[in-house]
Amino acid sequence: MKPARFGYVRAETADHAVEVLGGADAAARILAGGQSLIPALSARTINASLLLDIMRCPGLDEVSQTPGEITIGAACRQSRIEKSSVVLQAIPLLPEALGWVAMPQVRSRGTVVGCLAQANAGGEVPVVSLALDAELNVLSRGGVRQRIPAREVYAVEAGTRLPSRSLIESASFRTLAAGEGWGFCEVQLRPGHFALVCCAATLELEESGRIRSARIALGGLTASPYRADRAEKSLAGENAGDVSRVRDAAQIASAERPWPARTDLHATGAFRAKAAVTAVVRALTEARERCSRQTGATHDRA
Amino acid sequence: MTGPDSAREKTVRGDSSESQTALSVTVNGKEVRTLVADRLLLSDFLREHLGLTALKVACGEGACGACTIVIDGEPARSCTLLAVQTEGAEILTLEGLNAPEGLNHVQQIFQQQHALQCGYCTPGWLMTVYSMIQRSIHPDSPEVGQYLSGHLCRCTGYRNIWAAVRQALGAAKDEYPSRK
Repeated sequence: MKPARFGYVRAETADHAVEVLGGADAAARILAGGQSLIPALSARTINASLLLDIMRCPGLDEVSQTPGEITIGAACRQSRIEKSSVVLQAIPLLPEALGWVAMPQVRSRGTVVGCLAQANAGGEVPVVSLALDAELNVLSRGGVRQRIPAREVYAVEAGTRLPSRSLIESASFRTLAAGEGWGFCEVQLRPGHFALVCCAATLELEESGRIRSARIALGGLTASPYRADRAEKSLAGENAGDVSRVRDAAQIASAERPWPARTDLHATGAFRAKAAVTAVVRALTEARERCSRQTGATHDRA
Repeated sequence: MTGPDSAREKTVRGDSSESQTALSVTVNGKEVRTLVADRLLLSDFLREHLGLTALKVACGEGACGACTIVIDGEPARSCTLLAVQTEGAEILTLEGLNAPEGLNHVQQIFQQQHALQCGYCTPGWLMTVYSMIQRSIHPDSPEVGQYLSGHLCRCTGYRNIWAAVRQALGAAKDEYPSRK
């Protein structure tokens, strides 16, 4: 397989990339790690007139921490973020999920922000971005910079809702609160395959072991990931160790999907809906166990 | 480094409408400066332009691992990258790990363990094993499974490969011949 012809430009800065993108035709594309884009170009399932390589733009390879959030630049490769001590300490949910993205030989080149931009239906990183209330830092032509919540970006049945011809410069993830537990569960056909379904969850508990707040994000079940708001609300004030409550919440989370369950060669929508329930239960259970360890609160194991 | 074959050069570069970009990379310790078509895949650049044919192209979409090489110390697919993306990078292919004579240490282990049959996938496995040895990955680490899941073998089966890789990881780091 060989890609069809296109032009290639190494962008000097993020602003340069957006200027060139704005002046090019609609088939121009941003190129980061290229681990999804290049095979798609080779298979000619998508076409590009021009590729704008942003990997050498100054600043885009930075990871920065400010109170309450971690910002990951668009040129940061997954293998680096997986091992970043700052990220492991503040948002361990992200490296855990990255361990499910393809294989190490792909993560050495692929980027975290590229996953957010590509928004594959079976992608893990968009799901984590929802669970961690991430905001995308988007640059448009003329130097216009906006912070757009991941929730808005993925509030479409497929793909992303972003300003046209813009560049995601970085993504800012909320750091976990003290004592906040997290869990990630994925159902996949074989290691390295896309998620049939995956769930990222976080929990904050009261001293009593009751749930103060829950965050549940589900991916793979529908073409876009979503936050299970009703399921989250159903858990507020409940005992985190109450297995039947957790199971009920997981049923709600799977059922409240805003779009139809996805059927493809690998799994039916009905299977995905069922697997999603299991994924939510497991992610919440892991999250509770991590809360327990951090706060010292005691409850019965599920 | 062997120079590009002129006949091939013509087919790849002959068309004046093909857009090209200057590329400077280090391949197996040698600097290469050339002009390549923007759409040229790294796997084709290494095989067709530089004659480094140890890496194999099979799926062409990053799934099978036959084209795995090492870029800046990390194993990577050469079929899911454009040559132009590797500007300034240090690339290592299996040719860079060859022993002066016969098989290198890890190749010997693969032979002893019968970890290959047709051999098409083997160069890819060897590059991943090289990276794992460089990172001192423990043979019992769960990372071993992660790395090996990045390769497909259609004839030998994985048990022998698994055994060979474990043996290779148990060996002292400096036993793997380095190109230096």
